[in-house]
Amino acid sequence: MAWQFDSVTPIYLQIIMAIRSGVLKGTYPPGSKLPTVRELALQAGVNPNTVQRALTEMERDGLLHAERTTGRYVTTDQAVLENTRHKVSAAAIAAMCDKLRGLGLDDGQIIGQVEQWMKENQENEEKEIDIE
Amino acid sequence: MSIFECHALTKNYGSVTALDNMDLELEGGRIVGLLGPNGSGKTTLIKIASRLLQPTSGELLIDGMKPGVATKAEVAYLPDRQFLPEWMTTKQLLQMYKDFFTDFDMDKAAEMMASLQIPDRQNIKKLSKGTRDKVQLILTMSRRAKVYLLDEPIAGVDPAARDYILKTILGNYAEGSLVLISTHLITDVEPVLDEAVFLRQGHVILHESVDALRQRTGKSVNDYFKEAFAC
Amino acid sequence: MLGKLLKYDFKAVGRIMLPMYAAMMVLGIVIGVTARIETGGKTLLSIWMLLFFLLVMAAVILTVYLLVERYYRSLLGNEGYLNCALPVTTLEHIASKVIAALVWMIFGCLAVAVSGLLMGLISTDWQDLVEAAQFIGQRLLHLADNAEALLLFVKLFVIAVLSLTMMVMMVYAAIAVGHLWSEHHILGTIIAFVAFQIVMTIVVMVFDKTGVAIHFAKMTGVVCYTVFWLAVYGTLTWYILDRHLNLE
Repeated sequence: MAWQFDSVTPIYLQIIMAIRSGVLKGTYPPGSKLPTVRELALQAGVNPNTVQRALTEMERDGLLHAERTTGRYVTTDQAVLENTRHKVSAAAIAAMCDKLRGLGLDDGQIIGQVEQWMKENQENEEKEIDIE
Repeated sequence: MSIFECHALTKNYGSVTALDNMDLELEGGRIVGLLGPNGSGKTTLIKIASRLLQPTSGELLIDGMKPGVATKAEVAYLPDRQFLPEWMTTKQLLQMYKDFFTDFDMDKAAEMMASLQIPDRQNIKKLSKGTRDKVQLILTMSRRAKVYLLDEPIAGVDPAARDYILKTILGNYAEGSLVLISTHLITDVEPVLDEAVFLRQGHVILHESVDALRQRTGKSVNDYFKEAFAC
Repeated sequence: MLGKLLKYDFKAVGRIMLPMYAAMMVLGIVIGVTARIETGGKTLLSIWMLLFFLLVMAAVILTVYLLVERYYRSLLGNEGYLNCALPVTTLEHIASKVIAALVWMIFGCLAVAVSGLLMGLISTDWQDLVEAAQFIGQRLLHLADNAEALLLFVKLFVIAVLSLTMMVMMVYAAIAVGHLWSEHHILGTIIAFVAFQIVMTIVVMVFDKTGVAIHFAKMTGVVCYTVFWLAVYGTLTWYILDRHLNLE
């Protein structure tokens, strides 16, 4: 199975996260048609009802909209997409901050570390390009 | 009316009580895990549902009917052992299923066997155990049944085959039907389940949707099971 | 559904017995030819005859074995998980097995008879054959006129078939009873079989004492007796397979 699930979070929430990421990554580009419930369930190796529940939630958020006969489509509404980006980022940042705070860093130090990391990585990328 | 109901179902084998005044109601369109340690009554329950066993008292109803010829036509049962007649070829087996089950999709079954490169004129006797297990699974899941009873479908099977089996189940069960999977290998099966039914010493100690259980306890079904059944 | 069950029961046994019967008939032809061309030492003929005899013995033993094994394996062995889950009544299962058993036994007798006939037809001179045919033809016509003798034949045939059916049913019932004893089902079967014999003998003795036996000396008596036990064993088998099935 290509999709990885942790064993603690409710699966429908994990599916929502996965599809949101997919939208941002370009796997399910804005305006595109989503695979059917059964197809997604098969790809992910999960129960179709769980997938259905996740998709219904995302319809409510506005990320997906259902055309009665043809299926579900990813929205092209920029505001919704921006909101989705925000939600996904927030989740990742929350996880990171949880971890770093647990290691004793305060908010100022966290931001400082992030900036330093970005600078270092930028330099590394440039070095790689030079080598090539 | 639920598609699967038990009321005060009891089964005794001599002095051993396998099912103890059990009540359970399951709806169609769900994949339900029947989970419990060995000897908790899972196989007994499934055998009664497929009429391979008679209850001592109480009743079990499938689609509102007591197990009998009519329910057998609607129930697809996959036992936890090899049951294929060794003298038949795979082709003859497909024909036999078609002869006896009006809900059997022969084309789909043949297609699935072909995709696994199982030769159709091969004697069952010549197939390896793993291949026979897959043939049994394919035959069972090619039925458009109202209730699928799968007894330990992934036990004793390597991880790749497990994947295949779960995908086959997911991809082939009829819309609106009930799939009851009895297993003690919970982690592999958990993502596929709608609901979990915990069985201990012949009665139901839990019947909840998997997502609700995770949300409520913050644990996976597997971990919660380990707690609930700690020795 | 019964027809479908029969189809598979025939297939299961046929794949072994039909080749045997074919071999038997081929051997019959061979013997017939050998008898014809050999005029002197009869050693080759004796060898073929011995072979034929062994083949018939093997066929008989194999038939009995197969019919028992087929019943046990398909209903009470691992195949039982498939067969007992078919949308078919227990009565249909039993009927299919009994009918198949009967048919194969009769078929076996026919195969032996045909082989013998082939032997005779091929080895006999044409004139002798014609004479024999005329003789038999006359006797048969004679018989056809004699309604009483004809009726006797029919009665004997019916009794033979019923008795055979009853014996098959008795064996199946013994196996079913044996199945109830899950740890020692073979021992259970043997005990049941012996018990059946004892019970049947006791019943006969009881009837003897009460003087009702006189009526049973007649044909109809025998038929009633056979049908009675057929019903008893049939019901016992049905009850166990339907209500007390416990596959392992």
